Amino acid sequence: MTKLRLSLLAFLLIGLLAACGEGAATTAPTANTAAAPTVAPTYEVDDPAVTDVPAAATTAPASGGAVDPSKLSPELRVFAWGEYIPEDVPAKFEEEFGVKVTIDTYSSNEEMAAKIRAGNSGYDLIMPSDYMVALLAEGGYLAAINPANIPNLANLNPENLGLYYDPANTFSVPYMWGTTGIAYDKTVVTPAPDSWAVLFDPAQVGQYKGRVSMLNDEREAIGAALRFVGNDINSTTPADLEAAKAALLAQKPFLAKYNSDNVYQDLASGEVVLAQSWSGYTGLAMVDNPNIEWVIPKEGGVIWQDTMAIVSGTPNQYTAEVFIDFMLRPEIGASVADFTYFLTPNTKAEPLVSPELQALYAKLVPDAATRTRLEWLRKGDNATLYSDIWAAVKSE
Amino acid sequence: MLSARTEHRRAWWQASPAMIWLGLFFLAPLVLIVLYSFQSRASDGTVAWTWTLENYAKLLRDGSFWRTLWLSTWIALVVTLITLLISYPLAYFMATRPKRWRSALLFAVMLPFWTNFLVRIYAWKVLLGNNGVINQVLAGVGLEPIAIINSQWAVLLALVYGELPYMILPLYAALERFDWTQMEAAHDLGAGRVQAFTRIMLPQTLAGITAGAILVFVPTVGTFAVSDILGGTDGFMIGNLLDLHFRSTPNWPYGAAISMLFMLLLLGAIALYLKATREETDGENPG
Amino acid sequence: MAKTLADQHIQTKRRRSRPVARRRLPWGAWALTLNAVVAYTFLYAPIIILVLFSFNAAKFGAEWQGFTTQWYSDLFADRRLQAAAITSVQIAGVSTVIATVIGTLAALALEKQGWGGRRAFDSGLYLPVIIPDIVMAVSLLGFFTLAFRGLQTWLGLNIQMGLLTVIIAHVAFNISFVTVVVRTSLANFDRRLEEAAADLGATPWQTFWRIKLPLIAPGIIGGALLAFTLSLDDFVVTFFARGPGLNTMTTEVYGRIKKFISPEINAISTLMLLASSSLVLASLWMQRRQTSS
Repeated sequence: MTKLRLSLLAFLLIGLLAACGEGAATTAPTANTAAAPTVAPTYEVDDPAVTDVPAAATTAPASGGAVDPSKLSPELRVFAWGEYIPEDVPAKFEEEFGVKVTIDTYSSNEEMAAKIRAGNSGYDLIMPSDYMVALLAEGGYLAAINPANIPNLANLNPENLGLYYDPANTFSVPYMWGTTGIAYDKTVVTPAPDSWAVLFDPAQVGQYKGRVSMLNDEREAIGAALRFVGNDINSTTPADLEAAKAALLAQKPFLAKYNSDNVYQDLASGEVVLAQSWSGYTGLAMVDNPNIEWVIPKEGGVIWQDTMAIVSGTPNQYTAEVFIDFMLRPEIGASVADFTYFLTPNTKAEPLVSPELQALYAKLVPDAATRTRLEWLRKGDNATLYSDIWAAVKSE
Repeated sequence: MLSARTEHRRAWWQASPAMIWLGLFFLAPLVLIVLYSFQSRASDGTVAWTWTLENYAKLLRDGSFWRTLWLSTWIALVVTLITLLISYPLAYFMATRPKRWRSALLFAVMLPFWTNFLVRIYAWKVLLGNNGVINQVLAGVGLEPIAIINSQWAVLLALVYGELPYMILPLYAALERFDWTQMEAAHDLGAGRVQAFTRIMLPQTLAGITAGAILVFVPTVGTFAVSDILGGTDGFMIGNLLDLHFRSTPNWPYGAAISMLFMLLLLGAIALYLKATREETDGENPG
Repeated sequence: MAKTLADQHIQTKRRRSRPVARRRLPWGAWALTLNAVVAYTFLYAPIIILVLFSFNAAKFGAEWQGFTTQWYSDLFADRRLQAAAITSVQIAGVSTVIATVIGTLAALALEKQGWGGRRAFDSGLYLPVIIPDIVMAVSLLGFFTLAFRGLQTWLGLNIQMGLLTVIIAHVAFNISFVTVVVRTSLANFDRRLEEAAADLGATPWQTFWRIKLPLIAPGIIGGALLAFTLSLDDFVVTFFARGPGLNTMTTEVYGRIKKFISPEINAISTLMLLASSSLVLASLWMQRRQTSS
């Protein structure tokens, strides 16, 4: 140990030179901050939805009139999917209600649930997907929502309410919905794929080695593999899962990565030419790269709905409900759609959605025929079953 | 002078804040990890608080754990070796410049590292991407593109880059202190260059090599961010496995067992290495 | 290259005791210089690319699509990044002060010989240096989670991980580094000065504040600077020990690299590099002026 210590001493003495420079250097960002306040807040100008459609915008905030400011907390902590809440939303909410909104992000339902289940997460509002709403509600981690505080619930399409995971919408309010399928660059991936085989059959996926990605999401990745091998997407039978695992392992050498974070950027920039993707990610990629195409495989894809839910035990339930109501305003709902390119369950937001996104609806909104191939992911009885397979696949 | 007793009491008093802080926020968490590693997991992925040895039993059988450990060790060893091979001659070069050049050269080594650590990893993502800078240049001159992004090779490269200064600095420190007249003496006494190097210089700079090796090996073998950003499915290391079990697909008891085994193996390896280098030095310079 | 060789020439003349080998084997000198050139190129190429791309109009990808300063103006309007920078400095500042006091005291204790727990304390203090970040990070996550859960169950306190837990964690890994540095200046401290002061009637307290502290101050400052740096550059421990709404520069940049790569990241690293290199050059210049005068 003496030798290690002596050598560390020598290193650290030299390190001082460096430390001097680095310690001082990092004050640079602070200097920037000092200069920042001169920049006017630009969020109102940024949002076309607000300025373009005055009619809806003026009627909607009326619901804010019923808010009792004395019951609002000074801060609201939101735990949301990455790139899911437009950047100007916290500032707008704070301006109107004086509540500071902080947003942390996660990349999978399981990652979010791990934090919530560990307790004392400090989060008030989360955005679980359908099956995770059911799992968290079952575990007692969600608070029952008081609909009286959310008059904008009336803006929602009834088709998006009362779904299997929360039949009476006791715990969750729909936020966005979409589908899971395959995105590809049509100039590279030929012929146009119509099956999960393009991602799982080594002969096919092998052609695009190193330029393929799968969602970094245990239910989505295993679900796709289950469909490919011809099993139920929600199967918990050991044999089915073993087959799915084998398919995932056979595919792994050809993958660049498991990614559910910036698939849109990878697709748009050409880093990846074939990917399991969510519809909104694909839409975003299509805007920057017209060669990107989207298909729900013939074996079936996933339909899902992400929700807003309140963590049980939070002292800020009322504020969270006011925030949910705020997010359900037509113009906010439309800005979320324009930001994420997912589909809004908000009927009143629908007409306010930007023409760019509406132009992609033909590709992104599943038609009746496609609808029949879409399935929901369901809460299993053994939540750790998928986790263990996923951990094994990733570390293999 | 103060009595030994007063001195001792004062020493205890002075050491106590560090003892308490490290006891509470370093040692206690490690002990807790040991406890976690003997717990089982509830059906929702949380810790169940029932005692079991299953995690260790599973760990010993878990081929993917050992493969991940092997990959991490292999990468860390190669990174240590490459940084050593680049750094020794570089430190030699630096230490043999005139004094006013030396500090400038030293600063030049450190300068790139005054950007954020993650920004430096990101730079490699920009360089190595399928459509990255290097491939654009290669395409420009009509060469085949390289495909090392999202692989263990990208991780290796970025780690060599990131760890280089931690090898250069201790080696430079050792060579700076080295008494160069000894080489001349060795030469006068008829020693060849190689002999002078292996018999005189190497033993005297071994402490620097040891320090550099440990300073590079330890963070490399436990890296998480580099392999997470550049490794793709191929460069999956122990740090990523721990991240997986503690964050993404929670299984804390199993993750805890992995941490324990990993830490014990690492500390054991360091102890063996130190013992070996000490014997080496003692052998060369008796007394 | 020519300049370097010329320089070596002069140098060989100036210092006759410098490597003999070089005079006889010019290829050795060539190889050394070549290695240095390659190594420095390797160190600088990515940084130069980053700086160049901070002016690239392309939103992503590595293609050059024209010159722009847009990313810099974005940076000045980016409140989230600014908040993260402030948080980083706050955490580094507070944890450095605490770790410096505790670490210096520990070094003073280790200077005294022969007390009971010295050996154990001595080796235990270095564990945080050799244990990988990730192990420390997950153990702190497990620890804080359980501790806060206990506090809630037994005392009804609802505490979360956040600024405080990150500061606590940073102090925990910084104490050892401060101690190591302070010990080096203590090793050079002449204990006879203390005895002399005592002989002249100074109380131990006076001796410490008037004699010892000023003499070991450079070591303490050095330790503090090292702690500050380590705290600012830490990613893994912060990532696991942070709580809701807390982001430092490193966690924020990580999130952006994963989520949405914006050339803003290039812009901020260029600014950091500029600030640090000008500081370094200024200090070098001052050093040189001092030595030449």
